[in-house]
Amino acid sequence: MNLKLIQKGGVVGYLWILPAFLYIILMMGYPIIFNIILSFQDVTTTTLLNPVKEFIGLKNYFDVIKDPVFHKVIENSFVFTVGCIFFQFTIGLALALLFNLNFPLAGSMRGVLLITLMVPTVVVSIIFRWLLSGDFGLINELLIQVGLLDKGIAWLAEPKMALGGVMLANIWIGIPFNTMILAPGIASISPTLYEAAAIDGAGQVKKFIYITLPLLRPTILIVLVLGFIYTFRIFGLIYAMTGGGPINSTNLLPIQAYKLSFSFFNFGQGAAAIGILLSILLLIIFVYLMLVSREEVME
Amino acid sequence: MRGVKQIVLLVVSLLIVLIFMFPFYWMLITSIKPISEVVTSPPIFITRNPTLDAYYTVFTKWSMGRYLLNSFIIAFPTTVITITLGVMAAYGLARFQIKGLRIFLLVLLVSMLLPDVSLVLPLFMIFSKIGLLGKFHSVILADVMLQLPFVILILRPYFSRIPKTLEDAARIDGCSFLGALLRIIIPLALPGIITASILTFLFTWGEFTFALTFLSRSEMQPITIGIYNTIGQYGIRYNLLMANSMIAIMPVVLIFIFFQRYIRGGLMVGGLKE
Repeated sequence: MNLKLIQKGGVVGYLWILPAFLYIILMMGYPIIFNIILSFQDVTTTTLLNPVKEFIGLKNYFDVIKDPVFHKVIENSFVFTVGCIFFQFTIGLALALLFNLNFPLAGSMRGVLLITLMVPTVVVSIIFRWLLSGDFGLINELLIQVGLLDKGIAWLAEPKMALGGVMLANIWIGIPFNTMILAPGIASISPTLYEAAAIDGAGQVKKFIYITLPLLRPTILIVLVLGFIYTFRIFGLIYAMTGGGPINSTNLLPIQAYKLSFSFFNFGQGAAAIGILLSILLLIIFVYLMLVSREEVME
Repeated sequence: MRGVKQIVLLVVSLLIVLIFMFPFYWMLITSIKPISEVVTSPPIFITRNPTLDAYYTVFTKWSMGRYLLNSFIIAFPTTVITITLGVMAAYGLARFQIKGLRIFLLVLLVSMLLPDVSLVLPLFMIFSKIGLLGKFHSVILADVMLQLPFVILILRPYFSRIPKTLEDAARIDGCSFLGALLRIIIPLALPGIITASILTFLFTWGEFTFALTFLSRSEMQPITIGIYNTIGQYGIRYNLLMANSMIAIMPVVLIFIFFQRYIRGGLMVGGLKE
Protein backbone atom coordinates (compact mmCIF):
# COMPACT_ATOMS: atom_id res chain seq x y z
CA MET A 1 0.00 0.00 0.00
CA ASN A 2 2.62 2.40 1.14
CA LEU A 3 5.02 1.46 -1.63
CA LYS A 4 2.25 1.78 -4.19
CA LEU A 5 1.44 5.28 -2.96
CA ILE A 6 5.04 6.40 -3.28
CA GLN A 7 5.30 5.01 -6.78
CA LYS A 8 2.06 6.64 -7.75
CA GLY A 9 3.20 9.86 -6.13
CA GLY A 10 6.42 9.68 -8.12
CA VAL A 11 4.65 9.62 -11.47
CA VAL A 12 2.23 12.36 -10.41
CA GLY A 13 5.20 14.45 -9.33
CA TYR A 14 6.68 14.37 -12.82
CA LEU A 15 3.34 15.37 -14.32
CA TRP A 16 3.35 18.55 -12.25
CA ILE A 17 6.82 19.47 -13.48
CA LEU A 18 6.29 18.37 -17.07
CA PRO A 19 4.67 21.56 -18.48
CA ALA A 20 7.45 23.81 -17.20
CA PHE A 21 10.07 21.28 -18.27
CA LEU A 22 8.66 21.04 -21.80
CA TYR A 23 8.42 24.82 -21.99
CA ILE A 24 12.10 25.21 -21.14
CA ILE A 25 13.09 22.51 -23.65
CA LEU A 26 11.01 24.10 -26.41
CA MET A 27 11.76 27.75 -25.77
CA MET A 28 15.35 27.55 -24.56
CA GLY A 29 16.86 24.13 -25.31
CA TYR A 30 15.68 24.01 -28.91
CA PRO A 31 16.55 27.66 -29.74
CA ILE A 32 20.07 27.25 -28.38
CA ILE A 33 20.64 24.12 -30.47
CA PHE A 34 19.10 25.94 -33.43
CA ASN A 35 21.56 28.77 -32.80
CA ILE A 36 24.54 26.40 -32.71
CA ILE A 37 23.51 24.80 -36.01
CA LEU A 38 22.99 28.26 -37.51
CA SER A 39 26.49 29.28 -36.48
CA PHE A 40 27.94 26.58 -38.76
CA GLN A 41 25.84 27.59 -41.75
CA ASP A 42 26.05 30.28 -44.39
CA VAL A 43 22.96 32.32 -43.56
CA THR A 44 22.63 35.88 -44.82
CA THR A 45 19.69 37.76 -46.29
CA THR A 46 20.40 36.22 -49.70
CA THR A 47 20.51 32.63 -48.44
CA LEU A 48 17.90 33.01 -45.68
CA LEU A 49 15.05 31.56 -47.71
CA ASN A 50 17.01 28.67 -49.22
CA PRO A 51 15.57 25.37 -48.00
CA VAL A 52 19.03 23.88 -47.50
CA LYS A 53 21.72 26.08 -46.02
CA GLU A 54 25.32 25.43 -46.84
CA PHE A 55 27.38 23.97 -44.01
CA ILE A 56 30.59 25.99 -43.77
CA GLY A 57 32.19 24.60 -40.62
CA LEU A 58 33.90 27.14 -38.43
CA LYS A 59 34.06 29.86 -41.09
CA ASN A 60 31.55 32.10 -39.29
CA TYR A 61 33.58 31.88 -36.10
CA PHE A 62 36.80 32.75 -37.95
CA ASP A 63 35.13 35.65 -39.73
CA VAL A 64 33.77 37.05 -36.47
CA ILE A 65 37.12 36.75 -34.71
CA LYS A 66 39.18 38.09 -37.65
CA ASP A 67 37.07 41.22 -37.86
CA PRO A 68 39.21 44.08 -36.44
CA VAL A 69 36.13 45.36 -34.60
CA PHE A 70 36.02 42.11 -32.62
CA HIS A 71 39.24 42.86 -30.75
CA LYS A 72 37.86 46.21 -29.72
CA VAL A 73 34.63 44.47 -28.65
CA ILE A 74 36.40 41.91 -26.47
CA GLU A 75 38.62 44.58 -24.95
CA ASN A 76 35.56 46.79 -24.25
CA SER A 77 33.64 43.89 -22.74
CA PHE A 78 36.35 43.08 -20.24
CA VAL A 79 37.15 46.71 -19.38
CA PHE A 80 33.43 47.37 -18.91
CA THR A 81 32.81 44.26 -16.83
CA VAL A 82 35.87 44.52 -14.59
CA GLY A 83 35.50 48.28 -14.17
CA CYS A 84 31.81 48.07 -13.28
CA ILE A 85 32.35 45.24 -10.84
CA PHE A 86 35.23 47.03 -9.12
CA PHE A 87 33.17 50.13 -8.39
CA GLN A 88 29.81 48.54 -7.71
CA PHE A 89 31.36 45.94 -5.42
CA THR A 90 33.45 48.44 -3.44
CA ILE A 91 30.63 50.94 -3.03
CA GLY A 92 28.07 48.17 -2.51
CA LEU A 93 30.20 46.64 0.26
CA ALA A 94 30.69 50.02 1.92
CA LEU A 95 26.93 50.62 1.90
CA ALA A 96 26.22 47.12 3.21
CA LEU A 97 28.60 47.77 6.12
CA LEU A 98 27.02 51.17 6.76
CA PHE A 99 23.42 49.95 6.70
CA ASN A 100 24.34 47.04 8.94
CA LEU A 101 25.14 49.47 11.77
CA ASN A 102 22.46 50.07 14.31
CA PHE A 103 20.65 53.37 13.63
CA PRO A 104 17.10 54.41 12.78
CA LEU A 105 15.80 53.69 9.26
CA ALA A 106 18.91 51.68 8.26
CA GLY A 107 16.83 48.78 6.91
CA SER A 108 14.34 50.89 5.00
CA MET A 109 17.03 53.01 3.38
CA ARG A 110 18.77 49.86 2.17
CA GLY A 111 15.42 48.68 0.80
CA VAL A 112 14.70 51.92 -1.06
CA LEU A 113 17.92 51.60 -3.09
CA LEU A 114 16.62 48.37 -4.62
CA ILE A 115 14.30 50.34 -6.87
CA THR A 116 17.11 50.76 -9.41
CA LEU A 117 16.84 47.01 -10.03
CA MET A 118 13.15 47.22 -10.83
CA VAL A 119 13.10 50.26 -13.13
CA PRO A 120 13.11 49.40 -16.87
CA THR A 121 16.71 49.66 -18.06
CA VAL A 122 15.72 51.79 -21.04
CA VAL A 123 14.51 54.45 -18.59
CA VAL A 124 17.93 54.36 -16.91
CA SER A 125 19.48 54.76 -20.37
CA ILE A 126 17.40 57.86 -21.07
CA ILE A 127 18.04 59.45 -17.65
CA PHE A 128 21.79 58.99 -18.01
CA ARG A 129 21.77 60.25 -21.60
CA TRP A 130 20.29 63.43 -20.15
CA LEU A 131 22.69 63.59 -17.18
CA LEU A 132 25.69 63.02 -19.47
CA SER A 133 24.45 65.18 -22.32
CA GLY A 134 26.89 67.61 -23.94
CA ASP A 135 24.13 70.19 -24.20
CA PHE A 136 23.43 71.40 -20.67
CA GLY A 137 23.75 67.92 -19.15
CA LEU A 138 23.85 68.15 -15.37
CA ILE A 139 27.19 66.39 -14.92
CA ASN A 140 28.89 68.86 -17.27
CA GLU A 141 27.30 71.83 -15.56
CA LEU A 142 28.42 70.63 -12.13
CA LEU A 143 31.98 69.95 -13.30
CA ILE A 144 32.15 73.40 -14.89
CA GLN A 145 30.88 75.07 -11.72
CA VAL A 146 33.48 73.46 -9.49
CA GLY A 147 36.13 74.38 -12.05
CA LEU A 148 37.09 70.90 -13.25
CA LEU A 149 35.99 71.63 -16.81
CA ASP A 150 36.15 74.76 -18.96
CA LYS A 151 33.42 73.70 -21.32
CA GLY A 152 31.06 70.79 -21.58
CA ILE A 153 32.02 67.38 -22.94
CA ALA A 154 29.54 65.32 -24.94
CA TRP A 155 30.38 62.26 -22.83
CA LEU A 156 28.49 59.71 -24.87
CA ALA A 157 29.53 61.14 -28.24
CA GLU A 158 33.22 61.21 -27.38
CA PRO A 159 34.92 57.88 -28.22
CA LYS A 160 37.37 58.22 -25.33
CA MET A 161 34.68 59.01 -22.77
CA ALA A 162 31.64 56.99 -23.88
CA LEU A 163 32.62 53.70 -22.23
CA GLY A 164 33.06 55.52 -18.92
CA GLY A 165 29.63 57.08 -19.40
CA VAL A 166 27.81 53.79 -19.89
CA MET A 167 29.77 52.31 -17.00
CA LEU A 168 28.50 55.08 -14.74
CA ALA A 169 24.89 54.14 -15.52
CA ASN A 170 25.52 50.45 -14.98
CA ILE A 171 27.41 50.97 -11.72
CA TRP A 172 24.42 52.96 -10.47
CA ILE A 173 22.18 49.94 -11.13
CA GLY A 174 24.71 47.46 -9.76
CA ILE A 175 25.45 49.00 -6.35
CA PRO A 176 22.14 47.97 -4.66
CA PHE A 177 22.52 44.49 -6.13
CA ASN A 178 25.87 44.09 -4.39
CA THR A 179 24.59 45.64 -1.16
CA MET A 180 21.56 43.36 -1.18
CA ILE A 181 23.61 40.16 -1.41
CA LEU A 182 26.42 41.24 0.93
CA ALA A 183 24.26 42.68 3.72
CA PRO A 184 22.81 39.39 5.07
CA GLY A 185 26.30 37.90 5.03
CA ILE A 186 27.60 40.75 7.15
CA ALA A 187 24.62 40.58 9.50
CA SER A 188 25.21 36.88 10.10
CA ILE A 189 28.68 37.43 11.57
CA SER A 190 28.42 36.96 15.33
CA PRO A 191 28.94 40.20 17.30
CA THR A 192 30.82 38.28 19.98
CA LEU A 193 33.71 37.90 17.53
CA TYR A 194 34.02 41.67 17.27
CA GLU A 195 33.71 42.04 21.05
CA ALA A 196 36.47 39.52 21.61
CA ALA A 197 38.67 41.29 19.07
CA ALA A 198 37.97 44.63 20.76
CA ILE A 199 39.11 43.19 24.10
CA ASP A 200 42.32 42.10 22.40
CA GLY A 201 42.77 45.69 21.27
CA ALA A 202 41.82 45.44 17.59
CA GLY A 203 40.62 48.66 15.93
CA GLN A 204 37.92 49.00 13.27
CA VAL A 205 40.32 48.41 10.39
CA LYS A 206 41.81 45.29 11.92
CA LYS A 207 38.35 43.93 12.74
CA PHE A 208 37.35 44.46 9.11
CA ILE A 209 40.47 42.78 7.70
CA TYR A 210 40.72 39.87 10.15
CA ILE A 211 37.05 39.14 10.90
CA THR A 212 34.63 40.63 8.36
CA LEU A 213 36.51 39.88 5.14
CA PRO A 214 37.50 36.25 5.88
CA LEU A 215 34.02 35.32 7.13
CA LEU A 216 32.41 37.10 4.20
CA ARG A 217 34.64 35.37 1.66
CA PRO A 218 32.05 32.89 0.31
CA THR A 219 29.46 35.64 -0.17
CA ILE A 220 32.04 37.89 -1.79
CA LEU A 221 33.05 35.18 -4.27
CA ILE A 222 29.43 34.56 -5.21
CA VAL A 223 28.62 38.25 -5.66
CA LEU A 224 31.72 38.75 -7.83
CA VAL A 225 31.05 35.78 -10.09
CA LEU A 226 27.32 36.58 -10.40
CA GLY A 227 28.23 40.21 -11.01
CA PHE A 228 30.56 39.14 -13.81
CA ILE A 229 27.81 37.09 -15.49
CA TYR A 230 25.18 39.80 -15.18
CA THR A 231 27.53 42.54 -16.36
CA PHE A 232 29.10 40.64 -19.23
CA ARG A 233 25.70 39.83 -20.76
CA ILE A 234 24.28 43.38 -20.63
CA PHE A 235 22.55 44.48 -23.80
CA GLY A 236 19.52 46.80 -23.52
CA LEU A 237 21.00 49.44 -21.23
CA ILE A 238 23.89 50.18 -23.58
CA TYR A 239 22.06 49.57 -26.82
CA ALA A 240 19.58 52.29 -25.83
CA MET A 241 22.29 54.63 -24.53
CA THR A 242 24.79 54.56 -27.38
CA GLY A 243 23.93 51.68 -29.73
CA GLY A 244 27.55 50.57 -29.28
CA GLY A 245 29.00 53.77 -30.71
CA PRO A 246 30.61 56.16 -31.26
CA ILE A 247 32.99 54.20 -33.53
CA ASN A 248 32.49 50.99 -31.53
CA SER A 249 33.79 52.60 -28.34
CA THR A 250 30.92 51.09 -26.32
CA ASN A 251 30.42 48.03 -28.49
CA LEU A 252 30.30 44.98 -26.21
CA LEU A 253 30.02 41.32 -27.17
CA PRO A 254 26.19 41.03 -26.79
CA ILE A 255 25.73 44.23 -28.82
CA GLN A 256 28.10 43.08 -31.54
CA ALA A 257 26.27 39.74 -31.72
CA TYR A 258 22.92 41.50 -32.00
CA LYS A 259 24.13 43.91 -34.65
CA LEU A 260 25.69 41.17 -36.78
CA SER A 261 22.22 39.63 -37.03
CA PHE A 262 19.86 42.58 -36.97
CA SER A 263 21.88 45.47 -38.43
CA PHE A 264 24.13 43.64 -40.90
CA PHE A 265 21.77 40.68 -41.45
CA ASN A 266 24.61 38.21 -41.32
CA PHE A 267 22.70 35.68 -39.26
CA GLY A 268 25.35 32.95 -39.41
CA GLN A 269 27.99 35.28 -37.98
CA GLY A 270 25.52 36.62 -35.43
CA ALA A 271 24.89 33.06 -34.28
CA ALA A 272 28.64 32.44 -34.07
CA ALA A 273 29.11 35.57 -31.94
CA ILE A 274 26.37 34.29 -29.62
CA GLY A 275 28.24 30.98 -29.52
CA ILE A 276 31.36 32.78 -28.34
CA LEU A 277 29.37 34.77 -25.76
CA LEU A 278 27.73 31.59 -24.45
CA SER A 279 31.07 29.78 -24.22
CA ILE A 280 32.55 32.54 -22.08
CA LEU A 281 29.45 32.74 -19.88
CA LEU A 282 29.14 28.98 -19.45
CA LEU A 283 32.75 28.86 -18.30
CA ILE A 284 31.99 31.47 -15.63
CA ILE A 285 28.67 29.80 -14.75
CA PHE A 286 30.60 26.58 -14.22
CA VAL A 287 32.86 28.40 -11.75
CA TYR A 288 29.75 29.82 -10.07
CA LEU A 289 28.14 26.39 -9.75
CA MET A 290 31.33 24.99 -8.21
CA LEU A 291 31.21 27.82 -5.69
CA VAL A 292 27.54 27.49 -4.75
CA SER A 293 27.68 23.72 -4.50
CA ARG A 294 30.67 24.06 -2.19
CA GLU A 295 28.76 26.58 -0.09
CA GLU A 296 25.76 24.25 -0.24
CA VAL A 297 23.38 26.95 -1.33
CA MET A 298 21.74 24.29 -3.48
CA GLU A 299 20.81 22.35 -0.30
CA MET B 1 27.27 59.62 23.11
CA ARG B 2 25.48 56.66 21.54
CA GLY B 3 22.69 58.99 20.50
CA VAL B 4 25.10 61.38 18.76
CA LYS B 5 26.70 58.52 16.85
CA GLN B 6 23.30 57.31 15.69
CA ILE B 7 22.32 60.76 14.47
CA VAL B 8 25.59 61.17 12.55
CA LEU B 9 25.08 57.77 10.92
CA LEU B 10 21.48 58.64 10.06
CA VAL B 11 22.45 61.96 8.47
CA VAL B 12 25.30 60.44 6.48
CA SER B 13 23.08 57.62 5.23
CA LEU B 14 20.27 59.99 4.32
CA LEU B 15 22.75 62.06 2.30
CA ILE B 16 23.99 58.96 0.47
CA VAL B 17 20.45 57.84 -0.29
CA LEU B 18 19.54 61.32 -1.55
CA ILE B 19 22.57 61.46 -3.86
CA PHE B 20 21.81 57.95 -5.05
CA MET B 21 18.18 58.75 -5.77
CA PHE B 22 19.04 62.07 -7.39
CA PRO B 23 18.73 60.84 -11.01
CA PHE B 24 15.06 60.11 -10.29
CA TYR B 25 14.55 63.59 -8.87
CA TRP B 26 16.22 65.08 -11.92
CA MET B 27 13.90 63.10 -14.17
CA LEU B 28 10.84 64.30 -12.22
CA ILE B 29 11.88 67.96 -12.08
CA THR B 30 12.88 68.04 -15.76
CA SER B 31 9.52 66.59 -16.75
CA ILE B 32 7.57 69.38 -15.01
CA LYS B 33 9.75 72.29 -16.18
CA PRO B 34 8.73 74.64 -18.95
CA ILE B 35 11.10 74.10 -21.92
CA SER B 36 12.84 77.42 -21.23
CA GLU B 37 14.13 76.07 -17.92
CA VAL B 38 15.28 72.69 -19.20
CA VAL B 39 18.46 73.65 -21.02
CA THR B 40 20.01 76.34 -18.86
CA SER B 41 23.41 77.14 -17.45
CA PRO B 42 23.60 77.06 -14.48
CA PRO B 43 20.99 74.32 -14.09
CA ILE B 44 17.73 75.05 -12.27
CA PHE B 45 17.19 72.61 -9.41
CA ILE B 46 13.77 73.78 -8.23
CA THR B 47 11.34 75.10 -10.77
CA ARG B 48 9.10 78.04 -9.87
CA ASN B 49 6.80 77.39 -12.83
CA PRO B 50 5.86 73.72 -12.71
CA THR B 51 3.76 72.62 -15.65
CA LEU B 52 2.25 69.42 -17.00
CA ASP B 53 2.72 70.57 -20.62
CA ALA B 54 5.19 67.81 -21.38
CA TYR B 55 2.76 65.15 -20.12
CA TYR B 56 -0.03 66.72 -22.13
CA THR B 57 2.15 66.64 -25.25
CA VAL B 58 3.24 63.01 -24.92
CA PHE B 59 -0.31 61.84 -24.31
CA THR B 60 -1.97 63.85 -27.09
CA LYS B 61 0.60 64.23 -29.89
CA TRP B 62 2.09 60.84 -29.32
CA SER B 63 0.32 57.61 -28.49
CA MET B 64 1.51 57.12 -24.91
CA GLY B 65 -1.78 55.51 -23.94
CA ARG B 66 -1.41 52.89 -26.67
CA TYR B 67 2.12 51.98 -25.53
CA LEU B 68 0.96 51.63 -21.92
CA LEU B 69 -1.90 49.38 -23.02
CA ASN B 70 0.49 47.24 -25.08
CA SER B 71 2.77 46.81 -22.09
CA PHE B 72 -0.20 45.51 -20.10
CA ILE B 73 -1.29 43.25 -22.97
CA ILE B 74 2.17 41.68 -22.86
CA ALA B 75 2.95 41.71 -19.13
CA PHE B 76 -0.38 40.42 -17.84
CA PRO B 77 -0.61 37.11 -19.79
CA THR B 78 3.13 36.60 -19.30
CA THR B 79 2.61 36.79 -15.54
CA VAL B 80 -0.41 34.47 -15.55
CA ILE B 81 1.30 31.81 -17.70
CA THR B 82 4.60 32.01 -15.83
CA ILE B 83 2.96 31.76 -12.42
CA THR B 84 0.71 28.86 -13.47
CA LEU B 85 3.62 26.84 -14.85
CA GLY B 86 5.82 27.93 -11.95
CA VAL B 87 3.34 26.99 -9.21
CA MET B 88 2.78 23.56 -10.76
CA ALA B 89 6.49 22.86 -11.06
CA ALA B 90 7.34 24.22 -7.61
CA TYR B 91 4.56 22.12 -6.06
CA GLY B 92 5.76 19.01 -7.89
CA LEU B 93 9.37 19.60 -6.89
CA ALA B 94 8.50 20.21 -3.25
CA ARG B 95 5.89 17.52 -2.71
CA PHE B 96 7.13 14.47 -4.57
CA GLN B 97 10.33 12.48 -4.67
CA ILE B 98 11.76 13.51 -7.99
CA LYS B 99 14.67 11.66 -9.54
CA GLY B 100 17.11 14.08 -11.07
CA LEU B 101 15.96 16.93 -8.83
CA ARG B 102 19.48 18.33 -8.64
CA ILE B 103 19.88 18.25 -12.40
CA PHE B 104 16.57 20.01 -12.91
CA LEU B 105 17.53 22.72 -10.40
CA LEU B 106 20.86 23.03 -12.16
CA VAL B 107 19.12 23.54 -15.50
CA LEU B 108 16.95 26.24 -13.92
CA LEU B 109 19.95 28.00 -12.40
CA VAL B 110 21.90 27.95 -15.67
CA SER B 111 18.96 29.08 -17.79
CA MET B 112 18.39 31.96 -15.38
CA LEU B 113 21.93 33.15 -15.98
CA LEU B 114 21.92 32.94 -19.78
CA PRO B 115 21.58 36.26 -21.62
CA ASP B 116 18.37 37.23 -23.41
CA VAL B 117 20.43 38.08 -26.52
CA SER B 118 21.33 34.42 -26.91
CA LEU B 119 17.66 33.55 -27.52
CA VAL B 120 16.67 36.51 -29.63
CA LEU B 121 18.12 35.35 -32.98
CA PRO B 122 16.95 31.71 -32.94
CA LEU B 123 13.51 32.70 -31.61
CA PHE B 124 13.27 35.39 -34.29
CA MET B 125 13.85 32.76 -36.97
CA ILE B 126 11.56 30.17 -35.40
CA PHE B 127 8.75 32.69 -34.90
CA SER B 128 9.12 34.01 -38.42
CA LYS B 129 8.83 30.45 -39.75
CA ILE B 130 5.60 29.73 -37.85
CA GLY B 131 4.14 33.18 -38.47
CA LEU B 132 4.23 34.55 -34.93
CA LEU B 133 6.58 37.43 -35.67
CA GLY B 134 4.98 40.83 -35.15
CA LYS B 135 2.31 39.36 -32.90
CA PHE B 136 2.04 39.80 -29.14
CA HIS B 137 2.33 35.99 -28.75
CA SER B 138 5.96 36.05 -29.81
CA VAL B 139 7.02 38.44 -27.06
CA ILE B 140 4.79 36.77 -24.45
CA LEU B 141 6.19 33.31 -25.22
CA ALA B 142 9.77 34.56 -25.01
CA ASP B 143 9.14 36.60 -21.86
CA VAL B 144 7.66 33.58 -20.07
CA MET B 145 10.86 31.69 -20.85
CA LEU B 146 12.94 34.51 -19.40
CA GLN B 147 11.05 34.53 -16.09
CA LEU B 148 10.05 30.88 -15.58
CA PRO B 149 13.30 29.44 -14.14
CA PHE B 150 13.58 32.31 -11.70
CA VAL B 151 9.94 31.94 -10.62
CA ILE B 152 10.25 28.19 -9.96
CA LEU B 153 13.36 28.82 -7.85
CA ILE B 154 11.54 31.54 -5.86
CA LEU B 155 8.42 29.43 -5.30
CA ARG B 156 9.96 26.08 -4.39
CA PRO B 157 10.98 26.96 -0.80
CA TYR B 158 7.49 28.33 -0.08
CA PHE B 159 5.97 24.96 -1.06
CA SER B 160 8.68 22.90 0.68
CA ARG B 161 7.89 24.66 3.94
CA ILE B 162 4.28 23.41 3.99
CA PRO B 163 4.18 20.14 5.98
CA LYS B 164 2.92 17.24 3.89
CA THR B 165 0.84 16.04 6.85
CA LEU B 166 -1.37 19.10 6.43
CA GLU B 167 -2.37 18.04 2.93
CA ASP B 168 -2.84 14.43 4.05
CA ALA B 169 -5.07 15.55 6.94
CA ALA B 170 -7.26 17.53 4.57
CA ARG B 171 -7.53 14.49 2.29
CA ILE B 172 -8.54 12.24 5.22
CA ASP B 173 -11.18 14.79 6.21
CA GLY B 174 -12.72 14.28 2.82
CA CYS B 175 -11.14 17.09 0.84
CA SER B 176 -10.59 16.23 -2.81
CA PHE B 177 -7.07 16.53 -4.18
CA LEU B 178 -7.95 19.74 -5.99
CA GLY B 179 -9.78 21.02 -2.90
CA ALA B 180 -6.72 20.42 -0.74
CA LEU B 181 -4.55 22.20 -3.27
CA LEU B 182 -6.82 25.22 -3.58
CA ARG B 183 -7.85 25.50 0.08
CA ILE B 184 -4.67 24.48 1.91
CA ILE B 185 -1.58 24.59 -0.28
CA ILE B 186 -2.11 27.68 -2.44
CA PRO B 187 -3.19 29.94 0.47
CA LEU B 188 -0.15 28.87 2.51
CA ALA B 189 2.18 29.57 -0.40
CA LEU B 190 0.44 32.83 -1.23
CA PRO B 191 3.18 35.21 -0.03
CA GLY B 192 5.58 33.46 -2.41
CA ILE B 193 3.09 33.53 -5.25
CA ILE B 194 2.50 37.27 -4.73
CA THR B 195 6.25 37.92 -4.71
CA ALA B 196 6.80 35.89 -7.87
CA SER B 197 3.86 37.58 -9.64
CA ILE B 198 5.08 41.07 -8.80
CA LEU B 199 8.62 40.39 -9.94
CA THR B 200 7.47 38.68 -13.15
CA PHE B 201 5.19 41.59 -13.95
CA LEU B 202 7.86 44.21 -13.26
CA PHE B 203 10.63 42.46 -15.20
CA THR B 204 8.30 41.90 -18.14
CA TRP B 205 7.18 45.52 -17.96
CA GLY B 206 10.80 46.57 -18.44
CA GLU B 207 11.67 43.97 -21.08
CA PHE B 208 13.44 45.50 -24.05
CA THR B 209 15.29 43.04 -26.28
CA PHE B 210 12.48 40.75 -27.47
CA ALA B 211 9.97 43.56 -27.94
CA LEU B 212 12.55 45.55 -29.90
CA THR B 213 13.20 42.65 -32.25
CA PHE B 214 9.85 40.88 -32.62
CA LEU B 215 7.44 43.82 -32.82
CA SER B 216 8.16 46.20 -35.65
CA ARG B 217 4.78 47.94 -35.93
CA SER B 218 4.65 50.87 -33.55
CA GLU B 219 0.99 50.37 -32.63
CA MET B 220 1.95 47.05 -31.03
CA GLN B 221 5.10 48.08 -29.23
CA PRO B 222 5.26 48.26 -25.44
CA ILE B 223 6.28 51.38 -23.57
CA THR B 224 9.97 50.44 -23.35
CA ILE B 225 10.28 50.47 -27.14
CA GLY B 226 7.95 53.47 -27.42
CA ILE B 227 10.21 55.63 -25.29
CA TYR B 228 13.34 54.19 -26.93
CA ASN B 229 12.05 55.37 -30.31
CA THR B 230 11.61 58.92 -29.04
CA ILE B 231 15.27 59.32 -28.10
CA GLY B 232 16.25 60.41 -31.58
CA GLN B 233 12.90 62.03 -32.31
CA TYR B 234 12.77 64.45 -29.41
CA GLY B 235 16.44 65.43 -29.56
CA ILE B 236 17.21 67.69 -26.64
CA ARG B 237 13.62 68.34 -25.64
CA TYR B 238 14.42 66.53 -22.46
CA ASN B 239 11.24 67.54 -20.65
CA LEU B 240 9.31 65.34 -23.11
CA LEU B 241 11.75 62.44 -22.74
CA MET B 242 11.58 62.69 -18.96
CA ALA B 243 7.78 62.86 -18.98
CA ASN B 244 7.81 59.67 -21.05
CA SER B 245 10.17 58.01 -18.62
CA MET B 246 8.10 59.11 -15.63
CA ILE B 247 5.00 57.54 -17.13
CA ALA B 248 6.92 54.34 -17.92
CA ILE B 249 8.08 53.90 -14.33
CA MET B 250 4.83 54.93 -12.62
CA PRO B 251 3.46 51.37 -12.31
CA VAL B 252 6.89 50.23 -11.11
CA VAL B 253 7.08 52.90 -8.42
CA LEU B 254 3.54 52.24 -7.20
CA ILE B 255 4.05 48.48 -7.01
CA PHE B 256 7.42 49.03 -5.33
CA ILE B 257 5.94 51.28 -2.65
CA PHE B 258 3.02 48.99 -1.82
CA PHE B 259 4.78 45.63 -2.07
CA GLN B 260 8.32 46.47 -1.03
CA ARG B 261 8.63 43.72 1.54
CA TYR B 262 7.58 41.08 -0.98
CA ILE B 263 10.06 42.35 -3.52
CA ARG B 264 12.98 42.36 -1.13
CA GLY B 265 12.21 38.85 0.07
CA GLY B 266 11.80 37.57 -3.48
CA LEU B 267 15.02 38.98 -4.81
CA MET B 268 16.91 37.31 -1.99
CA VAL B 269 15.19 33.91 -2.04
CA GLY B 270 15.09 33.54 -5.79
CA GLY B 271 18.84 33.18 -5.90
CA LEU B 272 19.62 36.68 -6.88
CA LYS B 273 18.43 38.04 -10.13
CA GLU B 274 19.77 41.23 -11.53
